[in-house]
Amino acid sequence: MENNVISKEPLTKKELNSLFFRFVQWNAPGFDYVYYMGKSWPWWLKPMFKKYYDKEGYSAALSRHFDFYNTENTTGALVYGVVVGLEEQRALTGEVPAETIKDIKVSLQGPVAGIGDSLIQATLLPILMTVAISLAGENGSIAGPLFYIVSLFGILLPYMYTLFKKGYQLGTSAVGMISSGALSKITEAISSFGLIVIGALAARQCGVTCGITFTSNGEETALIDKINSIFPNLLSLLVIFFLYWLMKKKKISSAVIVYGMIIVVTILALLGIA
Amino acid sequence: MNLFQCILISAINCLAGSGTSPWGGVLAKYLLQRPFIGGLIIGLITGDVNKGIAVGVAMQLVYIGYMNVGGVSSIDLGTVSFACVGLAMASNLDTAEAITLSTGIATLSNSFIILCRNIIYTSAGNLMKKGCEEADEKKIWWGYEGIVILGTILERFIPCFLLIRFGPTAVDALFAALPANLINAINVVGKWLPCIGMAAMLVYLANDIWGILIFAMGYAAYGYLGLNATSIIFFAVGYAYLVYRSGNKTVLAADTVSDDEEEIM
Repeated sequence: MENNVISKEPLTKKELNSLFFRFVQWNAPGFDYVYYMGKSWPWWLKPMFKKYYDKEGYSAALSRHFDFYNTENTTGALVYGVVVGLEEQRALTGEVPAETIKDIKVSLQGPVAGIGDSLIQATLLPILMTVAISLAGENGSIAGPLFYIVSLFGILLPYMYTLFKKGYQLGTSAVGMISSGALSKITEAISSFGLIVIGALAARQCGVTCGITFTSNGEETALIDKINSIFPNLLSLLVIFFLYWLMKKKKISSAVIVYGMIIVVTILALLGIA
Repeated sequence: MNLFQCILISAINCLAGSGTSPWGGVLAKYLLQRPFIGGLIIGLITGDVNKGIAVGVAMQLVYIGYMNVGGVSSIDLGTVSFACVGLAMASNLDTAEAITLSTGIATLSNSFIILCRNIIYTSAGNLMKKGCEEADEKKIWWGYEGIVILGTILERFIPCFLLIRFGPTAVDALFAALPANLINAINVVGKWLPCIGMAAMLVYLANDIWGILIFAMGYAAYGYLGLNATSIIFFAVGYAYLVYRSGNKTVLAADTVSDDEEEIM
């Protein structure tokens, strides 16, 4: 434990806000494959440690936080809030062991990343993009990007700030808040919204082609016209389902699929099939 | 594009890393790693906003399902947003050709960035660690910001600048030299590629067969019923509300699907 505390003042509202904005400004500069985002912790907490500790305590506190860390950083604001609260208590009362703070970081980063990736990266952002794309249309209306910018900041900044504040106030009990059942219902509703909108978008944008033609009653007919008269753009839908199957069931990575598709479709096109 | 425009676009591209940029954080990542936002910014810089957004939107659709999970991704979306959208705007490529080319460029650039991360940023981390142990502010700054700024110039600024400054001429010359059937093939690939993004979205959003059916419902609403993409949003909001209100997760969700499908057909 550091016994080099030089201040017993709680964090002011201004200091808390500036700590939060450090978190917003810096995500994981120089992300590497040893520390991942871990380098950011000492950087985020620097002003706070400077306030509470003398030089020896300061370097000890910074070094304590220099560790592997990796999560989704909008939802990760919760972890940050919890740690800021605990670090403040540690400096003020000396009763919070460093191990507790470390354990919080280690045990929360996984679940928080899971929630953040599925709620923000896989649901919210694609939906905002989808709406923005529909608004932009094929002529490139500025309404699309504007909608995205306003809604992105309008939703994510308050979201991050609320989580940070909640984490700071609730301390270790904040963990329960994010894993409550209400959240899964909302996620489910948002996913179904996304599925319909993405479905419509796919129908508009995917134009899988087929070069095969055949002759019926002396007339040359393209196979794709026949298929489209049954269901518009059916081929694209089938290709999407096939790719879904490859990714979901066969666990093939999207990079492999991208390369594979470029090669296979080029060959099919040269043969006149695609 | 003139020299100044190229420099400005490449500088903004420095903030479009997957969280690796020296400044801007997670919000910059979610904002700038979007080709249609890249298109807007390039459009504002070059003076053709609508073309920028239109090119960006076309690119966005291919990559809508790509996300960066746990620092792992196959494509550097920042490169698509700025270098590739810029390249597509300045050259005579059509959308499908641009998509095929961008996919190749962004995959290559991602490998280059991973190389930088492994070599440069790990040593920056070790320098910062030393700085923390010695309470040496200079070492901390160089480890966290200084080296990263230099690294970002190397991995994001220079490639982007070269691509948008000299790429268009090279690309136009390349496409002029290619045989017609190969250009046709590249076009066809560009039309197929959006399917990958859509399928990737489906992987994240659909957990079971009902998810796939709901997707197909949206697909049919556009292609079969001929609703436009904006009106489908209201339809989707109503449906999401029904899901939210339904008490029992599996049974009621299934019921609402069949109800809505009868309505459509």
